[in-house]
Amino acid sequence: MPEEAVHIISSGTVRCARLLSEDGTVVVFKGQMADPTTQIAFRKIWSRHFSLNILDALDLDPADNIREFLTIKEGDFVSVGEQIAKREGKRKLSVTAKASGRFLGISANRLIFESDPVDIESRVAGFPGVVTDIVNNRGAYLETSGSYIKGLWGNGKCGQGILLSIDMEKNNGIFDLDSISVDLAGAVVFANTCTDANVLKTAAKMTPGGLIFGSLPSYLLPVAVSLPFPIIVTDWIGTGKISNPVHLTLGENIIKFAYLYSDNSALGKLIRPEIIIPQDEYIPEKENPLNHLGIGSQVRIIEGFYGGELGIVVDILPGNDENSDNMEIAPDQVKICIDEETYVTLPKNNVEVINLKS
Amino acid sequence: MNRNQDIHTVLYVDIGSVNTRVCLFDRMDDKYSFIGAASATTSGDITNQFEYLNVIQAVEKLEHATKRKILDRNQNIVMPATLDHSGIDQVAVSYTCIPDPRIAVMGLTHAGSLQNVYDLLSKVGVKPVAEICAEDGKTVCENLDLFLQTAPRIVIVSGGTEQGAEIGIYRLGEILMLACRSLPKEQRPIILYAGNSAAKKQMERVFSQITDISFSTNVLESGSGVQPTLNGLMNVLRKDLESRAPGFRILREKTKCSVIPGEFAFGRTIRLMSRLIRQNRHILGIDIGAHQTILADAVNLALSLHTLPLGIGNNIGNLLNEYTPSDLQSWISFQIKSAEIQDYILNKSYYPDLIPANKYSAEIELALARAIVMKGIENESLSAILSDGSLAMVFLSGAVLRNVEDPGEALLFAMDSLAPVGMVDYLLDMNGLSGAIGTLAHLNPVLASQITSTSAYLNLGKVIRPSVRSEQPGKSIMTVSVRDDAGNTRKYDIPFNRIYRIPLEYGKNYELEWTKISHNVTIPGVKTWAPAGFKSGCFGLVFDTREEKDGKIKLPKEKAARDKKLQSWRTELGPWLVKQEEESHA
Repeated sequence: MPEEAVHIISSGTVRCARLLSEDGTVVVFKGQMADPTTQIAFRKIWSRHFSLNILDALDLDPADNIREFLTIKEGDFVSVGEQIAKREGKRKLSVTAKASGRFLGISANRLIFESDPVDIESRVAGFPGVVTDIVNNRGAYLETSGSYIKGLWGNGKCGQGILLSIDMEKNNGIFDLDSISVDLAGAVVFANTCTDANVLKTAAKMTPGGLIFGSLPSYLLPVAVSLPFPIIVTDWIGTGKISNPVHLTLGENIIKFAYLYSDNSALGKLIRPEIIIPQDEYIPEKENPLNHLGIGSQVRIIEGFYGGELGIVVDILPGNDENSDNMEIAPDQVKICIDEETYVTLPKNNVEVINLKS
Repeated sequence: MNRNQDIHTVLYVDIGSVNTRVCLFDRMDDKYSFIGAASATTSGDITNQFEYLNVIQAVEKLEHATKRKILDRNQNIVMPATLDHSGIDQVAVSYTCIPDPRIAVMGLTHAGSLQNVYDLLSKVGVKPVAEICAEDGKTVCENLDLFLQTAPRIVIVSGGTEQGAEIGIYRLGEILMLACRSLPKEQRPIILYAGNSAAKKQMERVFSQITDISFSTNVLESGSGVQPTLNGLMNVLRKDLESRAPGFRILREKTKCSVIPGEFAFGRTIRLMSRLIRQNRHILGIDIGAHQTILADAVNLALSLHTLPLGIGNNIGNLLNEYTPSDLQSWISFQIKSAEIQDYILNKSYYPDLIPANKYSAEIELALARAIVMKGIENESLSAILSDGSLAMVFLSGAVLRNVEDPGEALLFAMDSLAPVGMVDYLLDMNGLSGAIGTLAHLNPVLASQITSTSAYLNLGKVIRPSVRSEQPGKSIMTVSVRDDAGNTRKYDIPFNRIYRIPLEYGKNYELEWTKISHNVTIPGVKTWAPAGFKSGCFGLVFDTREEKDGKIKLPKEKAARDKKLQSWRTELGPWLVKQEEESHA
C-alpha cells in the first residue's frame, strides 16, 4: 500500500520510521541515541538444524531418559568441544560438541541443535538520531533536525558522505564519465540522471558515499543494485530532470553530511529510500573526544542501589551553584531510564558516559 | 423475528491495497437500493491504525456525496441509525490490503488430511508456503529447516480420523513445538488444529504455553467436508490480520462488523452468481486489483478460486518476471519502446494509486491487464472452460476496468484476453460491488440477493465466438436474424475474422435465430437449432470471429500491421453510445 508521509522537509524536525513488516525483536529504547549502524529491530531465524545421537556414545538403552544425562539445557549455546552430556558411575563417559549451535530440544532420543542464524528482516537507524518512540515488536521512530527527502527507488544500500552536486549546467546535468573525479570518493553526489551502465560501474571505482538521481531508466536498475554503494532515485523511473523541490533542498545542503538510507528487506512491502541531512555536523560516537553528557547519552551508574546499571539520560535537571541564594547546594542531576519502568534521578557526577561500541 | 428486519442502512467497506472503498445501501419498503460509493487512499503505517482512519476518510467523502450524516462530531460512525436517517445499522468489511498470510500445513497423508486442508484453503484463494507431511519421511531437522525458512504466520495441523491416528499427530506436534521454540515469541505462528479431536487436549496443553492455538472440527471428520473448519480458518485469519494491522481491530470493535478476506468475498459472489445461469454452465469472475488478480470459476455453486500475485498497482512489477517488455508491447496500438513500458511498470509499482492521465497510459494499463489475465488462464481448468463452450458469463471487476473511458474497452479487454468460444455474457462491476454480495451473504442475505438480482452491474452484452476451421477473411460464415419484442426481424451476415457488432437497445428482450451456418463453423455450447432469447447489454450482440492461434487471438507479427489491426478492432466494436440506425449493417 502507498506510504503516507511527508516527502520533503527542507528544514525542520525529521522523523523516520524504522519498522519491521511483521512482528520481531526491537533492540532499542526510547531516548536512546542511535548512530547510522545501530540496529533497531530484526526478525531472525536459525537456518540450519542438525541432530546428535548420544545413546551410543553414552552406552545408553533407548528406554533410558536421556535428559538425566545432559549437561546443557534447552536454549543453551554450545561451542565445539563443550561437554553436552555425561554418564557417571563405574564407566565415566561424556559427549562433547562437534559443532557450535543452540540446543533446541529432544526428538526421538536425538538432541536437536540449530545454527546459522540469519536476519530475515532487519532495520538499522541509517542516520544519527534519537529514538523518540517505540512501536512494540516492530521498531522505532527516530528524530533529528535537518533536511529530509523521501525518494522513489533505492538499491537497498545505506551510506553517507559530504553532499556535492555535479555541474547541472553541463550536459543537462547527466552523470557521465566527466562527472567522475577524485572528489567523488566518499561523497554523496546528486545529478539529474545517468544513462550509461559503464558510468555507474566506473563511479564505483572511486568508492563514493552514494549517488542521488532525479530519475534513472529501468534498464540501469539491475546495475545499480549490483553496486556496493547506495543509489537513490528521487522522482521517476526513466530519464528526466531532478524535480525542483528536491533540487532546492539538496542544493541548500551542499557540503553538509548526507545519509542515504535504502532497505529492500521487507517481505512484500515497499520501503521508500530516504535522504537525511542533519542540521548539525555529526561526529561519530566513537570518535567523539568529548563524550558529552546530554539527553540520549548512554551512561553507567557508578555507585548506589543501581550501581553498575546502564541507562539512557532522558532529562538533565540543573542544580543550584554555590553563588545562588539558596542555602543548600544542589548539584546538576540527571534523570536516567534504566528500562521501560525504571527511572532514577541521580547527581550528574554519579554517572559516567560510556560507549559500548568503542 | 429476523434480526435483519431492523436493518435499514448498510455500509459495505472494501479495504484494498491502494483504495478503501465504502458503499451505502438503504432499505425502503423492504427493498434495498444502492445509494452511493466513495473511496479514500489506503495509506499509513502500523502506529496510527490507518485502516480505520482510511475508512473514516472514505465515509466523510460518502457523506459529502450522498448528503447523509454518518459520522458524529468525534468522527465515529453513528450506530445504529437514528430516526433522522443519520448513521448506519450494519457494517460489513472485506479486505485485500494485507498480503498472503503465509500458511503452512501439516498432515499425516497427502490424499487424506492434507487434501482436505488444501480444499479448505482454496476457499480463500491461499496457497500454502510450506507443507509437512508425515508420509514424506523427512527428518525432524529437514522439516524444521523447511518450516523456519518459510516463516509461516499460520499453521494448520490436521490428520487422523476421529478415534484414528494419534501418535502421528504428536510427532507433527513435536516438530511444530521445536519450530516454535526456535523462534522468538513475537515471530511464532498462530496454530489452527483441525485434526483428530482425541489429540486436542494434549495439543492445547503444550501449545497454549507457547503460542496462540485455536481448534476447529476435524477436516477428516466423516461427512463434514471443509465447511465447518472454514469458520475456524476465518477466525485465525482475522487474528493474524489484527496483529498485522491493528486498525482492523479498532474497526471491528467500533462497528461490530464482520471482516472477511476479499478473495473469499469475491469467490462467494461468483459462486452465488452461478445460481443465476443455466445448470452446468460456468461463470468466470475476474478481479484485477493493485496487488493481485483473482480468477474465480463457479459452476452449480461449486467454486474454484485462483489468485495471481500480479496486479495493476504495487505488484505490477511481477509482470516483468513473467514477460519480456517486448511481449507486453503486443496489445499496445501505438509506437512505444520496450524500455518505456518497463519504466511505466516500475513507476506504477512505486506510485500504485496513479490514475492514467491520458489515453496512451490507459491503453498501456489495459494491455498489461490483458497480459495478467492471459497468465491466469494458463491454469488447466480455466483454459478448458474457455474452449469447450461451457462458459456462460464473465464478470469483470477492478479499478482498471471500472475507470475506463468507455465500457467497450473493458469488453474488448476481456474478449482479447479470454477469447472464449461459445455464447458468453459479459458483466462489468461499475460500482465496485464485486465483494459486496460475498461479504454480505451471511450477514444480510436479503441485501445480497437484491444486489445480485438488480442491475448493480453493467451488462456489456452477449458475445458469440464461433470455432472456425478455416475461411477467407471477410467471407460470411453465418447468417443470423434478430427479432425484437415488437416482432421486427433483421438479418445479418456475419463475416469472418473481425468483430461484428449488432447494436441493440439496452435492456430490451430479443430473440436470436440461426439462419445459416457454414459447414466449417461450430459454436460450442450453443444449440444452433433453436432460437435463443436474451436481454440486450449495452453493446448489443457482438460476434467475435477473429482468427485464433493456440486458443489466443492471432495478432500480426509486424508492429505496424498489428497496430492497425488493434485499432480496427476497436473501431469495429465502436463506442458504447451508438445509434442503432448509424451502425446498421443489414
